[in-house]
Amino acid sequence: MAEFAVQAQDVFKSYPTGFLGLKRKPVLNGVSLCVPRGTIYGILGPNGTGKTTLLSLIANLTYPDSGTIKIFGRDVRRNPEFVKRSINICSGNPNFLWSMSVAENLTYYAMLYGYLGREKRRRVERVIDLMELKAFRNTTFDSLSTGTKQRLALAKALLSDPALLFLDEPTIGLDPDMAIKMRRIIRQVHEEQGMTILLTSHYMKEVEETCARVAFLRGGELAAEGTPDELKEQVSFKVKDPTLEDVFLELIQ
Amino acid sequence: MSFLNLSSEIAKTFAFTYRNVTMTKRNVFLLGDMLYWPFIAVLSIGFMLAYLQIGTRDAAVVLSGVVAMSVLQPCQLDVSYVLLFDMWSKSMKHTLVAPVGRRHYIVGAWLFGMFRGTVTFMALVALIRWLFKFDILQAGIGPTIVFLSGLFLSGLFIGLLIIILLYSFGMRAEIAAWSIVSVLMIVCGIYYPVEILPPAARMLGQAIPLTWFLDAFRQAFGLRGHEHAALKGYALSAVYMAGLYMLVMLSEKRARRRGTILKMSE
Repeated sequence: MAEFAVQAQDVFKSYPTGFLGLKRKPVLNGVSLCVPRGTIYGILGPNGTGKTTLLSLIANLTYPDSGTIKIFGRDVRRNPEFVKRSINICSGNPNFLWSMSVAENLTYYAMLYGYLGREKRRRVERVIDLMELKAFRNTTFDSLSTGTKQRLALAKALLSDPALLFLDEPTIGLDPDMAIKMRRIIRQVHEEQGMTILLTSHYMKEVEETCARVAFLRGGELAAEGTPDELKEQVSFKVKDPTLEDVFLELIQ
Repeated sequence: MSFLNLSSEIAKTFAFTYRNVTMTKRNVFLLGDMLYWPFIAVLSIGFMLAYLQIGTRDAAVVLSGVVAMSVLQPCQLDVSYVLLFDMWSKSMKHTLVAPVGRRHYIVGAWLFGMFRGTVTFMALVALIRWLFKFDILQAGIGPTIVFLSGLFLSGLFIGLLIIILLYSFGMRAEIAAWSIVSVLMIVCGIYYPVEILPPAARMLGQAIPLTWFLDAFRQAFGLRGHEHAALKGYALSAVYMAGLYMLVMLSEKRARRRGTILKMSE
């Protein structure tokens, strides 16, 4: 069994830009990191620093210019089917089919993961219960509040019991009480199912509370990596009782 | 293939059928593709034919063309919607991280396209028989099935072409979903045999399977046509199927490499 859920080695990624896409805009410059199996791993960094691109590369939604990425010991480019079976994603700006209800959207995604009949219904009902979506099961997506959309996004991501779950800013734009609820659910499913979670966030407190290890990206490069305590230790000579926010501010300077 | 694998394949394929069915149910304008525009086309052209007092055989040429376009449009739109729904709702990455392949989304959407096309066909047959006393089905069951299968294959090819354009150019190519059929109207000779076209356009028309399926269907009404027209249509279809499927695969990979998939999900 592979020790690491994710291993990225010297990953470079740029996107075509300008007239006819002839120029390249670099986004990641030689990022290497290892995510231990079964942890909640935070990826932090200012806007446009490549967090979402890194998640997308690991999810095989886009391809690196160079470098290798493995999940559970298997190269993602060579094993796309394995990647698809192992992962699921929840995005902070949830987008689903606007005219379909909560139950219909979840049914559609359950079918995409190959579930039919009783098993499909069981999975849909389980995540509806878990995310407290019962009252909204027949409400169409475009009529849901932001918080309920986020819960639907997490419900969809949990449908397939992924071994590796991507949470891209899962609490962005949520009220504090809803954000606390989401964090509680994230910790709960992590403890119950032992899945590896890759989480990006702008909320340092959220990362400090939920993540066992954290990577800081700056300008497309890995600026620091470690447990929250190890990272805080790095700035303790400058700040008394530092928080991850202090680490963040120090690293982006 | 084990039972579990088969069940999973069916679930993944029908997921796209389920999505198209649900979205169509909720949007009355999507029903317009099926009935509104086809009825407008048949009524306007049918009354024109009545006014011009055109004979049965010539009416068969024109009406089979109107029916062809009317069946083709909803069928190809359903295949196109498989990507358009994801693009409009910005949910493409959710579909593409799921363990589904191209075969699932193409076949799943096409199944509902064929259903919608069949409903349109039946409705138009009834309308033409009632209003203009002309029976499209007098061609016989065999030629009608060949004709419909040719239309559904053509709908699939247009849908695949639109998917390739969407992967390559993003939302800018959206308009192609509604305009490509109009180009076919001219080069495939839906209201006339392609022989009357200028040589270059005729060659282009003869390279499109739909031309041969129209030719074969019109022969069932006693019109002169090419030998083995339906066979030529199927042979060309096999070539188109292989080529377009390969191009869908390449354009999807290119879209992933260039980050187009991510842009379409934001």
